[in-house]
Amino acid sequence: MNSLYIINNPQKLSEALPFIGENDGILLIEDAVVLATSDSAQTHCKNQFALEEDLIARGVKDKSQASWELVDYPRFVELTLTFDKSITWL
Amino acid sequence: MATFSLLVTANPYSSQGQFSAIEFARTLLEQGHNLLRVFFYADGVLVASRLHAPPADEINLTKSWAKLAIEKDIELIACVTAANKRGIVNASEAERNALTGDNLDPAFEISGLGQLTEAMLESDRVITFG
Repeated sequence: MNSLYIINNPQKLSEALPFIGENDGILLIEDAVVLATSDSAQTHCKNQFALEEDLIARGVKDKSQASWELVDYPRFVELTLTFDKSITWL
Repeated sequence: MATFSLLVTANPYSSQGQFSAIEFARTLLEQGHNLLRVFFYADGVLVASRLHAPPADEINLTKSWAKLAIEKDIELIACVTAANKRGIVNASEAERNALTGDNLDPAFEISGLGQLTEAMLESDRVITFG
């Protein structure tokens, strides 16, 4: 069973990472999208996504790293169905 | 076509979670999925007050949820315990607690955690916004 980990706070990814398998997914939303702009947020997870409109809202879309796939809301909804369950790490 | 429910714990004015939840709800409905219920818990219940008066150039989250609920026939449920202690009460809770007024927006209902449990059992996916 693969889970989609939804992260909305940049400080929470490191807390969640030990629980995330390489076939799980990570979706960065809200303030956590800044992690997609940094080389330092490299993970072992193969499925890394970041919400594009939250990157745009923070003026950092141009700095996003290629290792994070930018997604819109329709794709966000699809991802919650692609993965067996979603876990919002608060 | 899948059935979703949402759990919203985000404070309406100190985080983005309520906005994200509304956008997610609108999108899944546009895609033809069902939205069974939105359950408001913790600080998320604060959005259920009908007395919010934000400045005219800001989004009124309560009205945004209410519009979605009325147009798409979606249940908006605020947890009774979380709501009562934050001063969000309907008429019967106001009477039961001997309060002088009530403030629940008519698009919302007050109920218990059983409604969240039921939503988890009856939905294909429950997505949390905090």
